[in-house]
Amino acid sequence: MTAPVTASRAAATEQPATLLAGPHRADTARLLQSVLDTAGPYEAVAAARRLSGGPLGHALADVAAQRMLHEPSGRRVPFQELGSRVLTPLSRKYDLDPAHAEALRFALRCRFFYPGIVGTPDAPFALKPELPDGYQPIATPEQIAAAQSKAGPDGLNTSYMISQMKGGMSADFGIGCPLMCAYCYRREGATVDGYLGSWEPKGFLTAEEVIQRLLAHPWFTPHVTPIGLHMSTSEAFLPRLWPRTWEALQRLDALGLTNRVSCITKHTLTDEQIGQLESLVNVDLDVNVCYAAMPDAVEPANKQRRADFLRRVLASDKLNVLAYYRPIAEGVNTTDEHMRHVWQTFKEAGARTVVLGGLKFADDHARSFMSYGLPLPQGTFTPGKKLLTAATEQRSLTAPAPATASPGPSPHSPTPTRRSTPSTWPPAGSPSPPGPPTPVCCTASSAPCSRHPPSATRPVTRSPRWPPPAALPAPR
Amino acid sequence: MFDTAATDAVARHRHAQASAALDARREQAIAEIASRAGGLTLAASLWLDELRAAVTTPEQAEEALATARAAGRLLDSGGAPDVPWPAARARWRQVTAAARSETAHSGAWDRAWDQAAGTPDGSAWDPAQRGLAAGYALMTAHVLRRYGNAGTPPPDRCWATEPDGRTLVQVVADHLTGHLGHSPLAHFDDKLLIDFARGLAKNNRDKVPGELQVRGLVAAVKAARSKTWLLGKPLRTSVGIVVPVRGEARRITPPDAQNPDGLDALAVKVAQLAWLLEAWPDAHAEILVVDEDPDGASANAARRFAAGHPQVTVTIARRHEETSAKGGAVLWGLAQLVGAGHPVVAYADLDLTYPLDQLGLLLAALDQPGAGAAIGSRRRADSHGYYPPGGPNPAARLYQRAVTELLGLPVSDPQAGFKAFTASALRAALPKVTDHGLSFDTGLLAAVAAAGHAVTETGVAALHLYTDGHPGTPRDYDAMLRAVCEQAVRHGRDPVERDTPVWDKIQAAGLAGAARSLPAGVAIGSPPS
Repeated sequence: MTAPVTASRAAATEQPATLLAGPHRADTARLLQSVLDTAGPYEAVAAARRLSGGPLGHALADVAAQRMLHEPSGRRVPFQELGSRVLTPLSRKYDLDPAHAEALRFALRCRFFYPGIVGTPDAPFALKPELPDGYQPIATPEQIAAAQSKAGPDGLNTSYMISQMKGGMSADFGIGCPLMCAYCYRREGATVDGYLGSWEPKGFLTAEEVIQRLLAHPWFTPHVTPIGLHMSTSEAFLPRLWPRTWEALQRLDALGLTNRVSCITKHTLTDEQIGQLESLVNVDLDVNVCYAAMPDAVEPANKQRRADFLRRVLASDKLNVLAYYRPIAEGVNTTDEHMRHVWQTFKEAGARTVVLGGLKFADDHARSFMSYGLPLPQGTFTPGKKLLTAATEQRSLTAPAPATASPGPSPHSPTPTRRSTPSTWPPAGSPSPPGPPTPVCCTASSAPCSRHPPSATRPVTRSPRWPPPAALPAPR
Repeated sequence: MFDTAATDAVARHRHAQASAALDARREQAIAEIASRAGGLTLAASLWLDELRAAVTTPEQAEEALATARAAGRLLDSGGAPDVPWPAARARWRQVTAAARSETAHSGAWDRAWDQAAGTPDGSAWDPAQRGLAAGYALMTAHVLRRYGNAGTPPPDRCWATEPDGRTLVQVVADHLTGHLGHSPLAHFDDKLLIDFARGLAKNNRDKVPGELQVRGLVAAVKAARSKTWLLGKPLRTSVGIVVPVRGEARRITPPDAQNPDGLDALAVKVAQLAWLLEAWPDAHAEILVVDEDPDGASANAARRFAAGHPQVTVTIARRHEETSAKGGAVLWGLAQLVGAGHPVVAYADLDLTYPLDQLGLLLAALDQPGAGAAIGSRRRADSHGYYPPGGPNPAARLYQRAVTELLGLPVSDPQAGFKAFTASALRAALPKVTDHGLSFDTGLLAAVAAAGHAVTETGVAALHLYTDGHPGTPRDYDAMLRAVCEQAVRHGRDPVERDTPVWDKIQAAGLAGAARSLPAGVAIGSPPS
């Protein structure tokens, strides 16, 4: 396993003591990172405080005193949420000028590790100008780019298995899922991508291999790029895959990475496994449980066990859990009864946030549905896009309440919002807001859902060491 | 010049206006006809297409529009539109035939259609799937009502011999051609429709003996596609069908206590053909029964039980030939029917394995450019019903591969008992066929191919009771292959002079021995597309 990429500790001892921007920044970063420890960032905060004074020093003192780099649950505040949860309040409180606010941002960025080939505290989005001694990426950017150039229309890289998808990186260990959802676009047989899958998971990479591939990928930015585990080719919580999923999460956590990591599931975990997930400190884990009252013949995974799992995992005060109301397939699971059932299930499970999503459907899916004797979804599908009409979305939000149960979402209260900004997400462990679950849209359109924030917009600078940008295919 | 241009422009404008009015009226006209035809819409839509295509002037367009407006009243009165276009008048005869068809008007179908709006899970069937769901429900209910859950009734008895079952196949097939404007046939190929029927049975967990409801639904799908093709080809034509018989009096006789295995086979064939020819009111068919048994018992039974129909003539002949084993009777019958002037001639076994209401599938295959022969194959991906899920036994598969190799015939099912030919192909081929035994099929196909005609195949739904694991009908494949080898020599394809690994292997081990080493998953040779 690769050691975290840090500056030489020897070099740090001779550096000028200032956090402000200037030519010495790289040395300062090395100095602060030399005392960084995965067990806790506050020693490094104290070191930064010793390099500063005045309002900036007070701000750093607050960070340490109030343990502002941790959530109440004990988990790290993700890198992506530093701005909204730490920097902005402190800059406002101490009236920091732009130069000192930027210095505070830099100091706090030094609290994070930057393993892999991308990111340093002073250039967290850029390829490293030089790699740490002894670190040998598993593949060169040229090799990875060449593999990615052969990816299918949806971006899935079936050779390197780390894929730049619409909203982040999909880290896939292998191909195959036994749940046999009829609408799956990685189902058995040749799909529209000419991609041969299998219902049975087999030939899966080890967790170590997958993390190495991720860190070597030039489009993976530590703490920034959302990661989906098994998102494109399998199911993270299958008993057969759980050991790899868990090991990958542990490895990411041990690297001090705070990227958002998502697992979308129609399977379940035991309470013991939920407890394991709760022990993660750094990784910003989302567990997204799909439930859409889909007929068993379309989606065979047991619904009752899923609803029970959703309830149990939502009880955790340390995990981010989303109720995934998807896929919503026009005509298949869109009666009022379907919708009432789903909302009632989510309400009884204690869901706070619900993600709505449509169905991606193509001609080869139509053939599958026909060959399985299933009703075809209705509507006009655009290749590669999910379909959820505005009318159905609105109907799902205003589904009449069941006669004997408390109502689902009020027709007035939910305001569909997209969870693409991390700061809008309530911290894990925060109390549930009163009232019904809040729907979040992950619809058809090209609009990204919470799992798919636009990542291609981040600024990227490249070192001359790497091929010029033109040699690398643009991220999808 | 300006005056001429202006006149043309005005004419075009009026024509476009009149045609637009006809187009605008189209849905209403179809609905009015459908309301009088049990919901059937294909013939109506073809009639309106013909009207639309026939008009060339604004006046004609207005006449066509007036005719479309009067369609409902014409059907009620039994009249015919007084239009000057023969093709449109022929189409109208199809409309009236469809409206008068007994199988079009079915209260059971109407109820099934209503109930098939959605699934028990609350999902809605796509309109193109709904007819299949309705048909499936009807057939499941019929089988369970008729037979309960016990035993495995033969599918030919259930869906052909017994009038209720046969009528139900035709009711469903008629409505699959187009009910209220919806048909699955235009959207899905038969392979997919067969899979869909199986999927329905699996999802519904219906315990129906022998999956008879699936067999019936697939037979209806095939019959519907057969009739759809005929509806689209309004020809004043005729077709001849040879039915060879030998010692089959009991099959020709209706079932009763003394003859429980009776099939009423000839009457059923006439009924199946008559249903199909509703789509061709101006067409005629001739069934030629050729009894090659010296005792003539089959011919006598045929005379007794042959049913009559205005569009179907049954002719019964006796022809004894010492050396014939089916081949002599078929080849003689084919020659007779070609001589009688039929442009297309087919042959079918007497048993009800191959429903004659699927004859349109063969005619459609023959309609391809260059085609001289069409095989109703039991072995294609879009075939159904003859073989158990594992397919034919290894000996049968090896025989097919050897035939392909020896005769250069890339067909999946050379021995199928349901084939059709163009008269021109038969005129060229028949004089060259000398094999009157069980291998006459391959000799005839090879002669057709040698005469420069293409041999095509189409998948059929066979009504056949197979037993999983049972080796099937015992045949002397080794003797048949020796005959095929002789045919190859006659056609200049002497295996001694060519690379024939399959044939060599069979010669070395005998067919049964070679078949034992055949890999279980071996694929049937792909037919030409």
